[in-house]
Amino acid sequence: MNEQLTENKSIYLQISEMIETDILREILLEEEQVPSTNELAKQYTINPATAAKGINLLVDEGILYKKRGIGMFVAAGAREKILSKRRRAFLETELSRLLEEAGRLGITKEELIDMIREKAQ
Amino acid sequence: MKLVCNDLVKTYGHKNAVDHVSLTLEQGKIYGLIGRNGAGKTTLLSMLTAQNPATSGTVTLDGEPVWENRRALDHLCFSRELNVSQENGVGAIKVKEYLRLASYYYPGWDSQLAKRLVELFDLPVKKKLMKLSKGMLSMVTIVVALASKAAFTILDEPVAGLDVVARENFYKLLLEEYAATGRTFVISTHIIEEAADVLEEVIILHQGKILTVANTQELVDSARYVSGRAEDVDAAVEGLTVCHSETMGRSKGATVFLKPGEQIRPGCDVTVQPINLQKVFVAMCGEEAH
Amino acid sequence: MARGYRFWFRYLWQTVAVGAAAAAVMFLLTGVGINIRWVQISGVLAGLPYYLVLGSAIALTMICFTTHLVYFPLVLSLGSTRREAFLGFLLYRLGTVVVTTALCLALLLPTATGETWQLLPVWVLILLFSCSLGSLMGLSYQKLKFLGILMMVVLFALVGGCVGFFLAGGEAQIFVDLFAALGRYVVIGGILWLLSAALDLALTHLALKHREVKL
Repeated sequence: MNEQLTENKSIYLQISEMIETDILREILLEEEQVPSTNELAKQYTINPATAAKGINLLVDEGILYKKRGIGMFVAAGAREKILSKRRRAFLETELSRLLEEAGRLGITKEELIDMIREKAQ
Repeated sequence: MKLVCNDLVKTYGHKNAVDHVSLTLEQGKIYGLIGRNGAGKTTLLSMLTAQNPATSGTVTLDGEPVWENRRALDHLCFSRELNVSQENGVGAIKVKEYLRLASYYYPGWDSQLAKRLVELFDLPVKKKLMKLSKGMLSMVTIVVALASKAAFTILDEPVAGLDVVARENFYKLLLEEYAATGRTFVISTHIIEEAADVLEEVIILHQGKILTVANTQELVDSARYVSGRAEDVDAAVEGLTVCHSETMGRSKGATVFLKPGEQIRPGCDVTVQPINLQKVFVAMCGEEAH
Repeated sequence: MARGYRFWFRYLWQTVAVGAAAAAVMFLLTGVGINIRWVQISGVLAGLPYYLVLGSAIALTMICFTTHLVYFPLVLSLGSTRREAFLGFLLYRLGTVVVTTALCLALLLPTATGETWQLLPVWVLILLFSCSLGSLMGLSYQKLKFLGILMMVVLFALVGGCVGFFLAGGEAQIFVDLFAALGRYVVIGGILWLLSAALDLALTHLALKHREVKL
């Protein structure tokens, strides 16, 4: 929870992604409480409603769940869910962006695959 | 509780400083009132709190007129910018005295909080207001606003003269108080970018008129800056709400607002970038510069 | 309800204090001149109420003047209603007159004679006049700056003249005589004051209604 906010993306998306990243890195463990909207609001000097929107996004996806009167907790299996979601996103966004830029630069598919192989070694 | 103004007008000479403004402020939100110098921010806020009479129109709190109404005024606090350079003598009042006078008028005055804030800001309570720096005067107005505990608290340019650390501290204090009490805050400012993330709703005032009242995040999320070859940009934004555009040789940049369901036409070779509240504001209010 | 008036009561005590301080200053200043002629302490003490009236009159004039310029916008900016400001100002002035008069009476009781009691209406009138005059000056200063300044200059010249007169070793007895002479015109003075007060209240009421807060 110590990343910096940027201007390039909606704040609430950044909040939810930050929590996801912390879960992936096991900074936040499953069945553990996450910071409250007010704590997040104060930490990042953002409106609590915005922080709540980010948290609710994760609740809708089943990554966080609410314990009445206590707060928000990381759901069991949250890490798995985030991993598969990020993999899908990687395929859809990152790879298409890569292909688009490759197309603009006139790099063929075969060349691209070779470049990836070379770089990965 | 709701603070509502209806068709509010303030005329100075032949000019409408506030021009037929209707607005509803709900309990439990942080509003930002942004506008250029002379847009009518202070005049509007003065009328909302019955500090200045309106030329026409009404202001009500829960249906009751605010004007000359002690019950309504008990829920309102408009902590004005203190301008002690003028020859009017408020500057001769000591900080301590000013805070004491404020405590007389606000029924919910929290003297503990006032004391804590005075210590936090390191305010020289024994000094006269006119001996204080611009930043210190802003801090005095912040102390009054927060300690008043009024359900609707309005701050006029609270961060003017504050350095970046003090500004950050102010917003943190504000959020702390907001989280603890759910009071409504209205903050007028022209230092927009830092305030943007704190403001739930933003009210843009331009030449006495309200340009927009919107959820800050939704407004910023709906705005895009599209740039590229002029023809491509025109094709990409065709049929969309273009607010502001600029050209340079063959290239063009345009600020557009997407309504729900709309999108920049795909397949055009253009760069689409998100923009921040400050740029949204400039796109909306910076027109006459051309 | 009382909350809206606390401000004005605070200023009541402060005005009395300022008036007493002004009286003390005049007393000390003139004491130098008087000592030569008035050797008896009791005679000097008998003059004290006169100083108190004059001191309070100056303080009242100044504060009533300032009220229009500073205190009205100040209390309105802190959420006072205009009605509270109007009534508070009125109560503050009447209160100050009553307290000052009571103080004078207390000082006079030990040496009071029949003549002294006849002076009472004069004192009260002087104090009441300062209230209306100060307020009218404040009002005119706001609308027509030069008129307010002119009134202030005349007033200060009068006060300065008095102090100068004392310092030059003038007979304090002249003031006692002057007060006594004024006593003969109490009724006319009263009517004049009523007129000025009515004018002041009407104008103050009107000004408050349209008053805009600028700090």
